[in-house]
Amino acid sequence: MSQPYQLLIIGGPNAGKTHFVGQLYNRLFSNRQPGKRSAYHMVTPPTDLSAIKAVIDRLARGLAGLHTESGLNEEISFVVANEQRQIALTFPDYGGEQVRDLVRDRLVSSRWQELIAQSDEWLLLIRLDGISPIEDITTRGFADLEDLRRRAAKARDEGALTAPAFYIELLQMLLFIKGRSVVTPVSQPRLTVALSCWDTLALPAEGVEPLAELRQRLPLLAGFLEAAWSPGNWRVCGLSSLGQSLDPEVANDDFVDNGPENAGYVVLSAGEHTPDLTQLITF
Amino acid sequence: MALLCSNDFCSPDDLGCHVGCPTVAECTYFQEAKESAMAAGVEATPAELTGRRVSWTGSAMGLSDLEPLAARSRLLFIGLAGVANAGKTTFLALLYSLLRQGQSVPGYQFAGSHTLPGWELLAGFLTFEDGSNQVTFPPHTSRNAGRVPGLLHLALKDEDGNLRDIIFTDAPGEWFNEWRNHQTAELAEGAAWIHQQGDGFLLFADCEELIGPDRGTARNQLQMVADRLLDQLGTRPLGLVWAKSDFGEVRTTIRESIQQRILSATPRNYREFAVSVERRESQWHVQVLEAVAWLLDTLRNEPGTSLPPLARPNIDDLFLLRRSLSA
Repeated sequence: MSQPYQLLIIGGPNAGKTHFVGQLYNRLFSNRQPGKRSAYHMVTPPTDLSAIKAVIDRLARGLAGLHTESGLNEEISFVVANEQRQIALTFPDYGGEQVRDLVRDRLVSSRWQELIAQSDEWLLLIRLDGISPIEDITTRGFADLEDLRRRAAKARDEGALTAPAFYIELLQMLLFIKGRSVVTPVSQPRLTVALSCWDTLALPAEGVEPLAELRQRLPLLAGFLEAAWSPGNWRVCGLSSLGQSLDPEVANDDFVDNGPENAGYVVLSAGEHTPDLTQLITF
Repeated sequence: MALLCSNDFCSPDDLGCHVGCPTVAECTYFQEAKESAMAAGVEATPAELTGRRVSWTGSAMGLSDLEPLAARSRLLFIGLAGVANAGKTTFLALLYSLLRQGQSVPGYQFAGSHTLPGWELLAGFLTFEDGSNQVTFPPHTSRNAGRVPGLLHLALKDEDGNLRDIIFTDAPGEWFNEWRNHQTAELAEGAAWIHQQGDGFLLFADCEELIGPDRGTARNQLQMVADRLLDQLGTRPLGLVWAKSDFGEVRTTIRESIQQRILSATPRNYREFAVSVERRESQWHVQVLEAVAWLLDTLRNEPGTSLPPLARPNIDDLFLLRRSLSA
C-alpha cells in the first residue's frame, strides 16, 4: 500500500534544492546494490525526469548544477519504501527567488498555497556559509550609527530582512497558510531544517550537532523552532549533497571517477555522518 | 500597485480580503471598486488577484491591525513613556537586537512576531518617516510603511508553554510633551491612549540630560510625565528606566527627588532599571531584558489579572452525583 505523503522542499536562492534532489535520485538507484542500503529504496522511478535531468547530467560530468530558473515549476514524483511503508514523494522544483519574493511581498501565490496545503512534511534548506554575523548596537555601540542607518534604509527599500527574521517570517507565513498556529506546539507538518553545504562550514569531521550549529549562528531562529514546534516533530540535520564544492565550468575528475552516487552525506542530530541521503525524506 | 476595495476598512493590498474571500478576485466589494480603479489606470496583477495575504503586514501595527492577535490571546500592552530623545527607541532597538543575538527575556521563550520588519527598522535606528506627524496610532499601517508610530509585537512563551502576545508602543516623545502640559490636548491623544490601554509602563529618565546643564528642566519634565502616568495607575506595574546610564551618575539630590515624587503616589508595583547601549557595565544590557520580564511576571502574579479559578463540580448536582457513584 502506498500512502501519499508529500515532502515540500523549501529553500531560497542557492540553498541547494536541485543538487539535493538530483543526488537523492542517484542514491535511490545505486542503493539497490547490496551493501549500499539506505533507509528508503526506490519502488517506482519517476516517469518524468525533466526537473532534474540537467543537474544529473552536469553532476555526471563533475560540474556544479546551474541555477534553476525562477519561473520554472516542474515536478518530479517517485515512490520509495522502507520495510514498513511506501511513500509517494512529490518534489516541486522551482527557483529559490520564489521563496524570497513570498516573504518580501507577503503574497502567497495560488500554486504555493496548493503546495503548502498538500504537504505533510517540510524540509527547509538553509545555507549557513552565506550568512554573516549580525552587526548592530549590541556589538558596535553607537560608533557606526550612520552605517547602521544606511544599511537599514537599504533593507527597507528592498524589502529585505536579516537572515533570522527572514526564516522566522517564512515559517510564520507557511504555518498561517497551512492553518496552524504557534499557540499550541506544532506537530504537523513535521519539519526538518537541513543546513546545506555543511562541508563549506569548516567544522570537525564528526561530532558537531547540527542544532548546536544553528543555535550558534541563528539563535533567534533556533529559539523560535523550540517554542513553535513540539519536541519530536522537528529536527536539524546537516547536508552536503556533493560532499564538496564543484565548479560550474571546470570538471572535477575525482568526482566523476568515484561517481556522483557515492558523494555526499547527511549529518544526523547527534552529529554522526551518514552517506544515506534518504534520511532526510522523513523521520 | 494598490488594490482597492469599496469597503473603507479593508486593505486588500496588505491583508487580503477583510470579509474572508479566499482571493480578492472573488469578492463582490472588490469588484465594485475595480471599475473605478481601472478607470484611474491602476490594474492589479494576476498574482495579486489570486494570491493570498497573511494577516499581518510586518510593519509596526495600527490599531485595527491588532484584531487577529486579539483573537488568539489577551494582549498585554507595554507603554513606553518619556519625552523626546529620552531613550525609548534605543530601548526597543536594544531589546530586539539582544534577542536576535541569542539572548532571551528571563523566563520566557521567543515564539515569533508579526512585526519583524518593524523591529528591524528600529534596530537600524531609522527615524520616523517624514510627514508621519500623527498625534495617535494609525488604524492600519501598510506593508512598506517604513517606521511610523505604531505597535510592535512579540510572542513569548512562559515556562508552562502559555503564549503571551506582548505589544510595545513605539510613539514619538512629542506626544508625551503635549500630554504632560495638557492631559486632554488634541495633540496628546496618542499618549492618553497609551496611558489608558497600557497594562504596564516603562518611564524613561534621560541620564545625559539629568546630568547636564539643563537638568532642572529635564527633572521637571520627567516628573510631570510621571505624575500623569501615576494618575489612576492602580495595580499596573511602572518601571523607571535610567536610560543612557553610561553618561554617569545622576546627582543624588536629583535622583532622590525623582524617586520621592514617584513613591509619594505609592505605586503598588514599582522598580528601577539602568540601561545603556554601552557594555562597560555588564548589567546595562541585561536590564533591558529584565525590565520586560519584571513587567510580565508582575502582570502574571498581580491579583485581579490572573485567570479566574476553575469552577468546581457541585456535589449537590444529581447528575454529577450519579456519575461519581457509577464511576
